[in-house]
This record gives sequence, structure tokens and C-alpha cells, in this order.
Amino acid sequence: MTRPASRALPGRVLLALSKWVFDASVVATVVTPVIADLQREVFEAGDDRKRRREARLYGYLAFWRVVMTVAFAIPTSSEGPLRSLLLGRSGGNLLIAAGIALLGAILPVFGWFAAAVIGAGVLVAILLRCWNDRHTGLRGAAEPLIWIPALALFVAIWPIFDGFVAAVFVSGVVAAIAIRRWNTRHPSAIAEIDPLAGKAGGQINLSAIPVAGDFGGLMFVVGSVAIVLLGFPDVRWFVLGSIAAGSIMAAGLFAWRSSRVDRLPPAISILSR
Amino acid sequence: MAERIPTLPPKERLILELLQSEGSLFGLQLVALSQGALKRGTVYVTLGRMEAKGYVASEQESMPAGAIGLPRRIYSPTPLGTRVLRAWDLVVRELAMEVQR
Repeated sequence: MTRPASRALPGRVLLALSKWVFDASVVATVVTPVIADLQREVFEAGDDRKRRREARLYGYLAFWRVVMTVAFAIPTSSEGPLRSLLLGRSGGNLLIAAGIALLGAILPVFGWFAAAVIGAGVLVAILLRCWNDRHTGLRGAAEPLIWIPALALFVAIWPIFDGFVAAVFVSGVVAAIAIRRWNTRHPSAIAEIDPLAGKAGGQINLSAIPVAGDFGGLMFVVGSVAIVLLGFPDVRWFVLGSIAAGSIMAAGLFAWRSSRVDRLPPAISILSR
Repeated sequence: MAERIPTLPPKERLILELLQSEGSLFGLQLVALSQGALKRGTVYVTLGRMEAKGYVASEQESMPAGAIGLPRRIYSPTPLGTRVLRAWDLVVRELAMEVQR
């Protein structure tokens, strides 16, 4: 491949920039071949200006397509200086940057309340990230830290819901303590975790709480009803009526099933306790 | 922990088939031979991933004296890639026979 030296080869600047963004293996195996193709096609176009333009167009398009996809397609380390700065090991730093950008964007609309919420979120994310990085072998032990975002959430919604937040928080703590104490005293009656669902860990949702037709389940229902009554007092009669209707229906079902317990499959074990 | 079973997505399978039938190829040659199934913007991403999996190996082309520009990479299938392709074809054939029954 020989050519007049007066004509500059395209893609040299992009290649130099890529070395700042991607690590060495990605540059060698993905980016450099794209640039090499671009240069080869431009060279082979010779003096045909139309072909040279087409070669540049398709070559640059291919390069930017690679840039957009490579970070998601190939597992890489964060050796590249810019990539290391932006993405870190798990993209956490990029999230921080995105959070700050989002803050700047919504601040004029929502004011400082939104700013405080996002700021708290970013702070929690940084703290969790730092903890995780320093205690890579103890990630399971970090589950108690789940209270940090929960607390941040309560603080964030306090200005809107005021006393309701306190009631929910207190009810939740009381329910959690009661369920825990009951489970400790009655270990044989703890609801079994679905083995197909894998190991249940602390999460910000209700799906990981192992409650069923036991006292824990009852506490959960009572807590939920109390939260609804505290939050929406206008629907108290509807809720109480629903509870009464549900209780009557449950008693009827219980009586009916008790009379046929011999013919029921053993899996319905609540009646045999 | 059990080792992960090698997988072969359609594009990777196509690349392995082309390399098996044609021998060593450049990226743009793969794009041309695929008749539109592979794009020049993503073929190297797929090849890079396949290289990380050990399905293909690559080396730089040898540049003639006085040549300028970056050397291109030429790709060829590895023994692992060949075995995975063969196993995949076998699985697909078996499944097709099961479906036809």
C-alpha cells in the first residue's frame, strides 16, 4: 500500500482519542481495525473524489457505531484514562455525573426540594459505592445498609406527607420488631422461602419478605391496613367494611375446609397446625 | 462453580461458518460475504467478543515495504470455535429432527 505522502491519512485523530477512552485491548482488536479499513478504502479510492468521500463517510459511521456499542458488548477493564474517569469499575462515576447533570436540568423547574432529593441520592450512591469497593468480600453484610436509602426516601417525602411519613415509619418499625420477635420465638412456624426464587436478600420491595398464612402474614396485613387508615382516613369505613366482609368470608372458608380436611391435599397445612 | 456452556449467537455462528468455508478473512471481507447480515460498524465488536471467548484468533497483516496506514487484522477460527460450531450444528439438527417428529 503506497501513496503520495502529501495526502493525510484519515482517522489518526480518532485513534489517538480512542486511546484515551478505551483500554488497550479494545483499541487493538476493535477500534484499530475500523480505522485501518477506513484508511485502506480511502487509499484504494485513489483520485476518485466520489469514492474517497464515500469511503470516509462509511468509515466514520462505522467508527462511531463502534464507539456507541463497544462499551456494552465487550467486557473491558477501565484502563483508558477518560473511560476510567467516566465509567470507573461499574459505571458508578458516570451515574454521579448524570445525577449532577439531571440536577442542573430540573432545578429551575422543581426548585431546591428536587435538588435535595437528588443530592441525597447521589450521596448515598457514593457512600454505598465506596463501601462496596473497600469491602468486596463482605457485600452480603452490606444488606443492613439498605436502611440508608429508605431513610433518605422518608426524609425526601417528609415535606409533602408530613405526619403520615412519621406514622408509616413508626408502624413499619413496630411491625418489623413484632414479626422478628415472633419469628424468633416460633422458629418452626416461619414461612418457608420459595426454593425456586433463590436466596432472598434485603431489597426495597416486599417480595423478599417471607410471610404467608402465619402470624407474620397477619402482622403484615394489620400493618398494611393501619398504614392505609392513617394515610387515607376518608376511606376508613370502606376499609373496615372490607375487613369485616373478608373476615366473614375467611371464617366461612375455614369452616368449610375444616369439615373436609381429610379430603384435602396435605400441602394445605395451615389447618393441620 | 460449573463452567459456563459456550453459546453461539446467530452473528457469531455466521462468522464462524464464513471463516470455516473461506479460511482467514479480513473484517470487511466478512461483511461483504455476509450479504448484509454483518455491518462494518459492528463486525469488529462481534469479532472482539468472539476473540475474548476464544472462538477466533487474529493477527495483523504483514505490510509491504513502503506501505503506509495501519495494518488490518486477519481473522481465522480457533480449534475451540470450530468445535463449538460443530456442536451447535449438531444440536440444531437434533432439535430440528425432534420438531419434525
